[in-house]
Amino acid sequence: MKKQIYWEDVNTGQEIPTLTKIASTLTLVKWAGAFGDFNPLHYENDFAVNYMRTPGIIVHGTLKRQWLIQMLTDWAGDGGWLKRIQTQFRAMDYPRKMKNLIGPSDEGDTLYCRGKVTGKSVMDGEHLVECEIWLENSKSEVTTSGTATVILPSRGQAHS
Amino acid sequence: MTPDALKHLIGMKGRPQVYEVTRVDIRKIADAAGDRNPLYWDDEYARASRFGGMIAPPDFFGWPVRWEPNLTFVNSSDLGPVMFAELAKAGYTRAINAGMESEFYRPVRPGDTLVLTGEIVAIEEKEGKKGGKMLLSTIEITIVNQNGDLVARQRHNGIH
Repeated sequence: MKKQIYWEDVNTGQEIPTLTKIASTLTLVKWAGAFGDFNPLHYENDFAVNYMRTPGIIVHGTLKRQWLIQMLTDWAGDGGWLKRIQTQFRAMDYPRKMKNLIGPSDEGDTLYCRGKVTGKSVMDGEHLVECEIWLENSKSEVTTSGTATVILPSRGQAHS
Repeated sequence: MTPDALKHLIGMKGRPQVYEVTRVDIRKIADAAGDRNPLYWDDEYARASRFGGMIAPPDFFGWPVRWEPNLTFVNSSDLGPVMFAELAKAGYTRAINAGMESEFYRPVRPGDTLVLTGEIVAIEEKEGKKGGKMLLSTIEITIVNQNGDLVARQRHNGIH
């Protein structure tokens, strides 16, 4: 198990470790299948351009949200608990094409899930950390943003 | 405030949707998101954790609530289409996703049967920033497990 982070270790302004993601066409097809969102906007370019009037296939907003969730659960560890997350989609992201059967092209966007601690409190015995979270593309444009509340274990608590 | 013509929508509930959670669903979602958290992949590790076994990533039930024949685009509630039709009648023909908020109360585990029930909780008319009126809508989805325990709540916000 990874080293557990405790509420006492966290300070306002502190950054959450960045989670880096690359979306490929394969990623989007997998997400469509797993999540049950078969909108062709996410896997057929002609449909996206001609029917949905987007510049091309776009990354599912739900996948970007799931990545932000992963950033938070990776950070909070098994002893933590994601209590609340709120997200808003601000701009589109585009997948990379495939280089071969399994790997994405070297060309295209890399997406960065980032976060920052904005406050700490204790309420009803829960040690809470408030966070600002966002997803950035390679041009440092924020394409998804939101807030989250994470419960972290406290060093003062008997921890089972 | 809520326009008189739309007041009847407040409190309207959707048909409860039942979702049986399987190990395969959990791993498909985790794999599609590229999440290698051992709580989703390593049974021995998960058993030794404070959760005592495999759990699903937060917001796992985000959308994949009910698999049905000819599935194309799953709605987390059947309320969305009903509400959009009523808003269109009142002159609000657009529907923009204005973000989503979730609160998590309990872990989701393989074998759980989740019941998701949507309710229209808010429809508010506001002055738009560029003049003109806009409408904000909120559909709240309550997710309960087979023991009747509250698992999560989601709020889907729309701009019309």
